[in-house]
Amino acid sequence: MNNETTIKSAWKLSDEKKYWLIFKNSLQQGFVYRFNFLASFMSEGLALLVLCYLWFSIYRQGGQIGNYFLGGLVVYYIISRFIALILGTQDIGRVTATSIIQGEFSNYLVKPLSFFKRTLFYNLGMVTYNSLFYIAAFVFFLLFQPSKIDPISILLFAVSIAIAYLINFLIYYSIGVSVFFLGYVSGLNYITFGISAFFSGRIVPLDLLPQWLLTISNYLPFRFMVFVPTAIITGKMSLTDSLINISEGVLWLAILYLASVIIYKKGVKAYESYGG
Amino acid sequence: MNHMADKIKRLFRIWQLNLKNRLMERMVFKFNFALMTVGVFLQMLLSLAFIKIIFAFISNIAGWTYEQALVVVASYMLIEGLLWGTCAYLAGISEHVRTGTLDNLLVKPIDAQFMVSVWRGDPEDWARVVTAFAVFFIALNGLNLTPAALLINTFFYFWLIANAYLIVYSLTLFVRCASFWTTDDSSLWRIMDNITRMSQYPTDIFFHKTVRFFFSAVIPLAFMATIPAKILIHGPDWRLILASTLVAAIFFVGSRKFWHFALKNYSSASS
Repeated sequence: MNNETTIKSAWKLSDEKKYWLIFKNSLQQGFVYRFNFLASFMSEGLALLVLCYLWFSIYRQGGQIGNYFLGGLVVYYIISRFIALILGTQDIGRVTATSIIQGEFSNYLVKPLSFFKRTLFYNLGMVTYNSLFYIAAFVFFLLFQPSKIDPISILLFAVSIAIAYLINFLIYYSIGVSVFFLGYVSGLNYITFGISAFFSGRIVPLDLLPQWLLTISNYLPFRFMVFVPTAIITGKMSLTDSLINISEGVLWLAILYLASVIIYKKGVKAYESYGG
Repeated sequence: MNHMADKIKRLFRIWQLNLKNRLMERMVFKFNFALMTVGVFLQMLLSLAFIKIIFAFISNIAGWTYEQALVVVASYMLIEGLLWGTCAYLAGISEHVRTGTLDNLLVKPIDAQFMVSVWRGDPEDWARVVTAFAVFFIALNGLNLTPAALLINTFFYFWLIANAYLIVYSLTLFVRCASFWTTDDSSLWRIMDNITRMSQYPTDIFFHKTVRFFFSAVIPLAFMATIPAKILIHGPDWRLILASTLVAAIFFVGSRKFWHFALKNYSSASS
């Protein structure tokens, strides 16, 4: 191996190692703030308990919500909560915007570090920490399902979760870097959180919506965040439909990535920093 | 008596000034303020959409009809709106403890709990109050109360809403005081936030007595929205009115004592 190849290999290794370190530090941070994780779990657990009581009280009166049986509805909400816990919150937008507003962003302009990759790997660390426990609990939950879930559905579910995470990340990252133009993005963040909570299927399964709302949701990327993965794992979607939805999800990823790159590049040109 | 009246006037003026400052601060970024207000309104609409969608399939939830369930939702929105609008769920406590700037408020010749309470109120959240009243009037229209019943029930309803405000305020104070020990109360706050959200469902859905007792006595979820709604719909029940007032008083006094206890654990970040 000649000198030039050695230098290139060393640079490449160093580049990968940078983001690995960022990921590792973020993951370790999660272990330091273990109580935050426990509190999230308790709060979501309480919310889920109340929702389950809501459905139980409706069904024991003889009511039915759409074509969902009680078990199906409860399973839907357990899975949707699990996905929401893994995806985290809209803090990506707030944290990204804050680092730009407070000038920390200047560091990324002078250092050999991609702001996008740094934000992604940092967030991945937190998500991985959340996932460790929730995946174990989720697998435990799946084992006790009356109907067996086939390996292909599990694989497609895993792919759809990855798409869900990336769509969620790109949307809130784009909002965060919009601070270059907007000055303050809490409003945009808040609205997006509300819209995404509804049109992702987190509040109500999308197939219970009236047709006109369902049509709107089909033109938005949010359904790939909760409803599509849940429909895949619960067998509500055929193999063909699952593959079509996953392909659409990938298309949305490309669109959102392009949008985030354009916003970022234009934003950097407009960026002004004060102080050293 | 005059001295008390002057004191109350002074406190009210300080609260007004803080609200005004906060509004001016928000209006620096007018577009963002408009978006926040729209976002708050949207959140309220989504709560209503959830109820509307469920009632498309059923006629009642644990005996509560659509209009009656709307009263519960309106009560929850009203409490949320008032707490965010007047004191931003006491977010000021966590911010001051984290940044070590609580000293500025502690040295002022005024009650520290009052100062941290009014230090921040989010003006965009008054949209919740407006939405709550709109939903309240829509629901009221469907309850078909006689004029006399409407007057009497509404009076007691707002009495219980005031109690509910005190209860949620006190619970929030308990949670926020945790920041004196942990500096980061975001996790506990998440629990509190979810508890408040749960109050938008009638607590009659808890058909197990133990659970219902837990959400009435331990976490007084029932007193937040369900019981005020029951009073409005069915008329005054002295046991519930007394219980609500007693719970509010106990929680408020308890939270104030806890606040003073927590304050002893505060150490400033600077001199």
